[in-house]
Amino acid sequence: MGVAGVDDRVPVLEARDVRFRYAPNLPWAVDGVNLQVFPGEVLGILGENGAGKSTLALVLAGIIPRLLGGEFQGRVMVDGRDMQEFSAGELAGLVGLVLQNPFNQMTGLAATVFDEVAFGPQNLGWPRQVILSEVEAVLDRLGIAHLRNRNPLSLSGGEQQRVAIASVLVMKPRLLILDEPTSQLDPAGTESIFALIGLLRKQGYTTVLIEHKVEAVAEVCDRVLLLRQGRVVLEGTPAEVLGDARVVEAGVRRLLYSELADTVRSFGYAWAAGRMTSYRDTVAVLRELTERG
Amino acid sequence: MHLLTPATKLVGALGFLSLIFLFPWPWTAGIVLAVLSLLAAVSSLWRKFAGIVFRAALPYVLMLLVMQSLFFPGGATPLLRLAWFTVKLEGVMYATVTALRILAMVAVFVLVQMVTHPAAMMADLEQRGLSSKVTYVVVSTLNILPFLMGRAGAILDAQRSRGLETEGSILRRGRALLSLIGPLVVGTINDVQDRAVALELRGFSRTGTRTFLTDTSGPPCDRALRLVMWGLAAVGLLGRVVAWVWPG
Amino acid sequence: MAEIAVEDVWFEYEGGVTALRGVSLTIGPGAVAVIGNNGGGKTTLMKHLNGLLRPTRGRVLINGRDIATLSVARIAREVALSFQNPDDQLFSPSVEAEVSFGPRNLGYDEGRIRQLVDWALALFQLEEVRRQNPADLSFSLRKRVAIASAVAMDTPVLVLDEPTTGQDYPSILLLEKLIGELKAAGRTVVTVTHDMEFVARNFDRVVVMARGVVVADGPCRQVFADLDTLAAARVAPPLVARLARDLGWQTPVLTAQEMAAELARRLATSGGAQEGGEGHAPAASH
Repeated sequence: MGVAGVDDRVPVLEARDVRFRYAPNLPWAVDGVNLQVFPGEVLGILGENGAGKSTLALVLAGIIPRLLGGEFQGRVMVDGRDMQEFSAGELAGLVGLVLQNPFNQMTGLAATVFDEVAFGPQNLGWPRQVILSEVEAVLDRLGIAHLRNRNPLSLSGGEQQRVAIASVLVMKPRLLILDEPTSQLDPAGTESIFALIGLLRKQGYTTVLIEHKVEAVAEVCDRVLLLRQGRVVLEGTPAEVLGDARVVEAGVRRLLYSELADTVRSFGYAWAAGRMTSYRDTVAVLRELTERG
Repeated sequence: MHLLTPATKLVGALGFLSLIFLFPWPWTAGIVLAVLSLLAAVSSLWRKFAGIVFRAALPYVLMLLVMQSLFFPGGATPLLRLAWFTVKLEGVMYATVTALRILAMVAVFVLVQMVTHPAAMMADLEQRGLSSKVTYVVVSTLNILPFLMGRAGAILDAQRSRGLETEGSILRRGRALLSLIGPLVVGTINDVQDRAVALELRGFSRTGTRTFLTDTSGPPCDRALRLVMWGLAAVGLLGRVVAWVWPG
Repeated sequence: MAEIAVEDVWFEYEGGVTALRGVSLTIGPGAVAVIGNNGGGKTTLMKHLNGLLRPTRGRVLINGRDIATLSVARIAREVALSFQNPDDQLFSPSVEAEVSFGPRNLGYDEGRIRQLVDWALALFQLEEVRRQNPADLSFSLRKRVAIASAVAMDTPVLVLDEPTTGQDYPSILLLEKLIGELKAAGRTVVTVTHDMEFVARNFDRVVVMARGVVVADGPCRQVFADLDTLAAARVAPPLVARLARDLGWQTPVLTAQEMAAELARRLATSGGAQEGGEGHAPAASH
């Protein structure tokens, strides 16, 4: 969607020349980042730990500098409007953010998942009937309606993350940012979250996903940014970025499919190599190539 | 009983406690205990209630009873002679009254805790004007505490696996303490920070009006019952004052 | 050199759950991975290796000696265990102090402690942050510190609980380098993990646990090729293995390199290599 570099859609979220550091004697955690997130896309952000991904997530969600202080430069805009211009009331629920640790995102107040998800809307002062129907709807949409009466603190990590996502989505944010949502989950939990992200993408949500699991990122993201020492150093489709040998210097593993594409390319099949961007495509291409002749 | 407002339940606690400790007639505690047990039974909470009050608390209370009976100073009517101890009637009576008071007090707290939901309590207090941040800290801590206990176990396992001796001299155990408390505190700080961010994202610090989903208005008799509870508290207090003014 | 023998161990948790049902295995020098779905018993088994849990029935022997009477701290001289959450153990004001905690507990002399700490810090590239407070570091670095503290204990056996969760690629590479070094030195490395790619790249032997019993125990290649057992244990093999299976290849492949090599072999023998120039797409696809 859109040729790289030329895009006339209005971004949902835009960061311009954003720089941030927690204290004057510390290095810039975010060091001149320009990015745009377009409606309906899933944008992946990759980079090694310490590259500034989590700090960037907090900046994009408006938590920095409002809640955590520090030195902030540049502008973050939602629908073209600078975040600093929003009142605290308008900002609440504008951008959804889900963090790594599932347990820490449960408020600890709610006896049931239903109450947990209703917490945000209650704070926003929505009418009672609206809250009831919206919570119901989001639980259904995310496939966790069967958990509605369970105690959120006693759920598995994967379930808690889905509840956390629901709790944030129910407030109808302009976009959803997920900061390594699967890093503390087992394979089953991880799969459920990536399946959920795919589902949200189909439903038209705008998502920013920070992750290390490159094959999963390739399946679910439309575009990917590579962050290194607080700066965006590569940008493009997952295959473009994760196929580039330079990612290794930035502390990110290359896609398995790209490693195999190298082999394919060395045999002269450049056209085939270009198509190996996802699991299914790779299987199709390799099957074709090895069954010929 | 679950349907009563949290405020009524708190006042009820106050009322019963006042009767137990302030009202001059010593056996009031026994009656309160009986009444509370009845309430528990009627609300199908007997098992858990009895479990805590009678099974858990009783041994301690009995021990207290025995100690007090043996060591009661004064009193003239000997019942029993055991080595160099004399068990006197007055002593046993005093000890029994104290024991009953303690049991009754435990019963009050247990019952209130069992029929009050933290979120409901919080919503109720908030509606009556208490700061949401204060109530949040109290209520969420209560909920999360059991899970924190689990972490303490994990920390102990981790440090023992690094050769930390947990048996042995007091000095050794003292040194071990830092390595056990450190992670708990730091971990808790990190968790709290995470949670603060999560709450902020869900509009917790917003200053506008909030909607309250939980219906915290009790049944029609709630108001009346609360007045009765205040009455009980007053009776207890009055009784004490009367006894003080007219001794004997 | 160390040998751990687990003899017909049964374990029942308070509350009645039987997590281990007659597990027997011997662990000698080399790298062993214990995998399995949650609830299968792998974590319970791991805790038996250093005495955190004691068998309800059966016994655990280290170098022929029953550890039932030994304290966990004593067993730590032979078996160092590092848990998955670094924040459950970090408490010292500096990375240096943290890494020296283990060796100091084991009573090594100061000279040896210094040596071991320096070695561990170098292995995990933590020298630059050695005086910083671990709590101020990123999660990946904290995890490296935690694993380094176990490594510094210089024990014959090292047990790692989910060492790759939450870790970035450079950290995983350092870990793999460590495992290689320990293997070469004849030490024993045991890992309990969900990360199949990590297992395939580094571990010669794989033990699969399900429902409290060992359902597979053998060379990595063999275990990952046995897709039926893995499916029954609700464990997925590494991505390359799945890819190979979906392509209908009989040769088991474990890593990206192996797959690339096998692919090259097949391409060379099938369509015929087209050196130099551009290949072209077929007129119609299969």
